[in-house]
Amino acid sequence: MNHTANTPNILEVNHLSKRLGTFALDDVSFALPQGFIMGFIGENGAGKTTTIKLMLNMLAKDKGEIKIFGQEHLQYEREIKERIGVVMDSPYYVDAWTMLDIEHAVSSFYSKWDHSRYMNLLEHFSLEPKKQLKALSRGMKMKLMVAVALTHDPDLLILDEPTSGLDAVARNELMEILRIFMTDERKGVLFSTHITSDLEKVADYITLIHKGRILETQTKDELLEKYLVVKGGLNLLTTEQRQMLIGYREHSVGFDGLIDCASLRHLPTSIVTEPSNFDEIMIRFNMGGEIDE
Amino acid sequence: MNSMFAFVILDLLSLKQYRKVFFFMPLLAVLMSWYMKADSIAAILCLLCSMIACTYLFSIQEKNLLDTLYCTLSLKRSNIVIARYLSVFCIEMIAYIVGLLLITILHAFSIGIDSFRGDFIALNVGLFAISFFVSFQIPFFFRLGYQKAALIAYIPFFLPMLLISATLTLPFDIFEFVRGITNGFILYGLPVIAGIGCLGLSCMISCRLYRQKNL
Repeated sequence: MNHTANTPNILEVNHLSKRLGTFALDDVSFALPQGFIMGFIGENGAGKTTTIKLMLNMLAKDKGEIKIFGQEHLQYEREIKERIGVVMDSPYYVDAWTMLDIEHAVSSFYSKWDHSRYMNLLEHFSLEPKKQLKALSRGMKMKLMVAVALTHDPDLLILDEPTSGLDAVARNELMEILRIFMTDERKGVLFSTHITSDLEKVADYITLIHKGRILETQTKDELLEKYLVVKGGLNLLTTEQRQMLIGYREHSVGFDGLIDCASLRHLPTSIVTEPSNFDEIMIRFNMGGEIDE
Repeated sequence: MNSMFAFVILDLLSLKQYRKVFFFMPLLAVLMSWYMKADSIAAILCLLCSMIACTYLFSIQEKNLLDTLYCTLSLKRSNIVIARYLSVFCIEMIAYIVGLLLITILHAFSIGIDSFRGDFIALNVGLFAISFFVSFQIPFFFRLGYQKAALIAYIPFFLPMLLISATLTLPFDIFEFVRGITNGFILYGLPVIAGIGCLGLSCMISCRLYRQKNL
């Protein structure tokens, strides 16, 4: 699944399935070309973290294929992990460790670990090297994880809700770091988040997951152009037309909903249309009434 | 291989917060040996301390979500398991060496009533016992996690160990009995080799269990 003809995919997920109790990740496929940032969005419990855990071999897949740097992720697990930086949504270091202990603990796993870069990043994030992890706020812990993920100069960053717990200034700093990281066109970022305003600043591609299924995976602009918010009076639409809307909602003076532009011609011309945004798309799909693909 | 040694360092670093306790243990062991007039108590306490340290590795792993950290590092699941057994072996060896030093020092000052040879055998058989218990525990920890496995894997074996160590002459009597019916020299090396064998077998089981675990 190549999105750009000449650019190789840095990450490729094909027909990935996994059942976990009542939740199922169903036939998930998407690809991230080299040199781009992909936003991975969906409501809580949509399957974002499960997909990332499958990539990291934290969960065993039931079906499907994951290729990172063009290599099968289990067969070349060690080589692949040497080249990726990961930030998950919860800190995963020993509470009693200082920033220096963390460096001692993980640096030996990476041939490209750069001590001075680590120190620079700690300074940039205002983290004291001798401070223990348990003395840090959640936001500071997330910054530390970002610093660790970037220090070995990874080719692919996998970020699972990295901005949760960060204030607006810190989020902006992170976006700036990602922008600098992406100046090297051989790199890529998979950025899972539900704070979609961050993605509007940096993402090139968006993959929308809902209830374990991929609904959309395309460029940010294509996705925003594809869906429109429609509004109008209560008696304007027939039942069939209402069924075309995603997240159809009625209120005292009218209705609103999301529509695929391709279906817009089936609606009356008097209907009001507005551009959509990622939040709107995510919320409407979560409300239901999606079109089966 | 390098990444497995790096993992051992990571493991030992995770015990950093308990280092004062572990440094204090030999002192406590000497005091108990002096009070009970049995040098083997020092060795057995050191080995028990190593057993606790080994289980702490799993407790810390679970409490701090280190499974996630391990999955971000350039390691295969089987490497993680093998490296954890290497850590356990290192901890046991440290306890063994400290125990050996302690009984040597205690004998030099003639605190105990037992022979050095008997204490040395007690240390070796103690190492085997600890290896055996830890080998039993670790697959449970890998499969179920520390909290869930603690009741199955920890308490039923920890209590008998305490009872045995509290019954002062029992280990000595057992070793003397076994020494009487076998060549005494076999007892020096055999328990250590048998202990390593137990850890190896346990490692194979753990590799299989941890590979299948959803983290």
